Amino acid sequence: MHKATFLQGTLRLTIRPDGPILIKAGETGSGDPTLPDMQFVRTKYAVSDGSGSQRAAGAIYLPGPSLKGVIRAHCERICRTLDGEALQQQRQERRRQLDEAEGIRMEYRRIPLADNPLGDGAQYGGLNDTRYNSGRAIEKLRDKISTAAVYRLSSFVSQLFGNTALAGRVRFADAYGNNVVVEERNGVAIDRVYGSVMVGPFNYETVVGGEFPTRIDFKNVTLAQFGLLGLALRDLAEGRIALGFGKSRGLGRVTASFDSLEIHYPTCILEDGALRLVGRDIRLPAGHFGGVGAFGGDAWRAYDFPSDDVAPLPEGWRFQADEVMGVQLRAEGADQVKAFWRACMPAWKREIGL
Amino acid sequence: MSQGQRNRGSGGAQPLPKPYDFVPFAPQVERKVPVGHHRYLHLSGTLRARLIARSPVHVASGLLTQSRDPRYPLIKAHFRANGTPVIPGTSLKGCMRSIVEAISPSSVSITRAPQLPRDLKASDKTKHLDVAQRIFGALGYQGQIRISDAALDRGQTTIQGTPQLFAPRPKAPVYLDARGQLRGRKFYMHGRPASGDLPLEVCPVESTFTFRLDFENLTPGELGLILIALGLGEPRWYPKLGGGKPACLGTIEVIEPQVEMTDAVTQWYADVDPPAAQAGDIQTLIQAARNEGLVLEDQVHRLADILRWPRDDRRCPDRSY
Repeated sequence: MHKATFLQGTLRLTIRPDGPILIKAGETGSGDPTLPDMQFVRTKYAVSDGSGSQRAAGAIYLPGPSLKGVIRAHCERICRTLDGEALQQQRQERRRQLDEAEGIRMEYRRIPLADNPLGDGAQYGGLNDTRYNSGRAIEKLRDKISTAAVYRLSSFVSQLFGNTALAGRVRFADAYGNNVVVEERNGVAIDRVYGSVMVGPFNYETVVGGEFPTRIDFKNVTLAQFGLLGLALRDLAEGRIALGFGKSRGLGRVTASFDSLEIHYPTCILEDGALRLVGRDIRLPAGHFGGVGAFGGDAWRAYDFPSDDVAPLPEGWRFQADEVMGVQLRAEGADQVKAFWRACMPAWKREIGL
Repeated sequence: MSQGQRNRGSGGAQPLPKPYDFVPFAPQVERKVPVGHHRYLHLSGTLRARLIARSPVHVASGLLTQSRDPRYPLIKAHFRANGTPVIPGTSLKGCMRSIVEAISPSSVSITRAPQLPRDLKASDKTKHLDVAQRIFGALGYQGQIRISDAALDRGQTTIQGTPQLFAPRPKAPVYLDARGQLRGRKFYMHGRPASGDLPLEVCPVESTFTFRLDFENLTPGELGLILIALGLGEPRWYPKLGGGKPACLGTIEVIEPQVEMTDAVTQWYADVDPPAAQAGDIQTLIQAARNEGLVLEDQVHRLADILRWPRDDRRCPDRSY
């Protein structure tokens, strides 16, 4: 659902290499013999880094797609681990009336929490099905179903990150490096029989120090979706997810720190410490924040948003009314950001049936 | 010049005994579908240990550097990451993988040997991978482990003069048995390091390094196989890595292994503050490797004999070899 905006926000974080990392540039192996065989990706032209400053051509950066890919893959992994037959049946039953009303055939109704965005399967075949792609399924039904059904029939992870039929709700920016330390490494593959060098030496460039501040923007997410994003980013921050090339040989270890989180409700006003949607009779309990499901009401029922998409504000968080219209939540530092994710956990647990 | 004449050097001395021996190939390679990365089904966590250099360790950076020692104005530098001498993850991975391959029903992943039997060649089908490919990865399949650089945490590098070494000669008859078949995988023995004229920057004996390996979706047996490869099983052995292996450099002892792992993934992903990871019992994991049929006992005993320590009885070749 992109036709209305109930909430949007930005998470700012800084990624730091914890050991060597390499995100390979596509076009390496130029004629220059002094350059390594595998180079880090660099900007081709001068570019604005999103915070208003200009980076000269040749700046080292972590591309947004590289970050999105690992975070999405990790979200999928978490969902596949927790998903189950009973949970899928429950969700199918919850959507039954809506699906029947639009004449969705039975074989398209079972939707897992996570699908495979690169798969070619249009019908879900159970927990061991790694080919099912909810975008493909929707493409087959397109023209016959509403945009609400496009969202409803997308897997939970696709609802957040998008698929070929639906735009995602999170956007990852490129992360431009500050004080980057670059080193070159060599690699050889040793022949198991002769003990000699079979492949190599090939050399590659790694980044071993520096900081990569970046931002993740999101809009119209449910608290459960935000909670899942939080769990994946927690694992990134604690070094459980690696980035880029050569993970099994020790490259790609990073840590991340969360600098700030900002959430904006542009169509809400503050009324006695409670959020109220302008022009509609939707009011959240005082001291509670909400995901997109809290604001939908009957008008957006066909999206199958969770109806109880609210949670108490964590300690230290306060609503701030904008001067013109809208309400803001803003916090600095890793502890406050983590407190926010903690507040989203009950919604996430409801989604996974715990 | 025949090989025998070469090994005698300029003084016409007797041929040097070989500093290596062979571990026979697995009688049969067992392949199956790897577990994948799409969901957590088995054990995930971290293995930490300390590495102690029992002979000088030299992992070359590929660079020459100036030294203050007037005898050796230029030395072959040790590999560094961000200024600290380290054993790079690639070296550790190669060392561990070659041992895991040797002691398990695995194919020979890297060789140019034309005599290698067809059924020992590495599979290029990602649905049919042997245990080493499942753990360490194959073309088109990312491995289940991540090995970090092991940074030198105590001591400083020194300069060690070692003998000049020739490159291995694949055409030498030593690699073949009487029937013209390959004798197996080559492993260098430990011994008393030899000295020579080639100055290397080394991490001296007793240097310690911090080792860390993260794993994901490994069965207890696969994790146990890694522990055995590190020399923590019975019989014990010391792995060997880096440069100057024929000159007896690169003997490593692995001590204080600690496994932290989780298999209660539901709890791990039901809250932002996960439960504490459990400590894995090393002996139980090692036994699991045997129970899962991942260990070839003949090969283990052969390798344990080659990589046994101490080896005061054995001197390494002290001239060009």
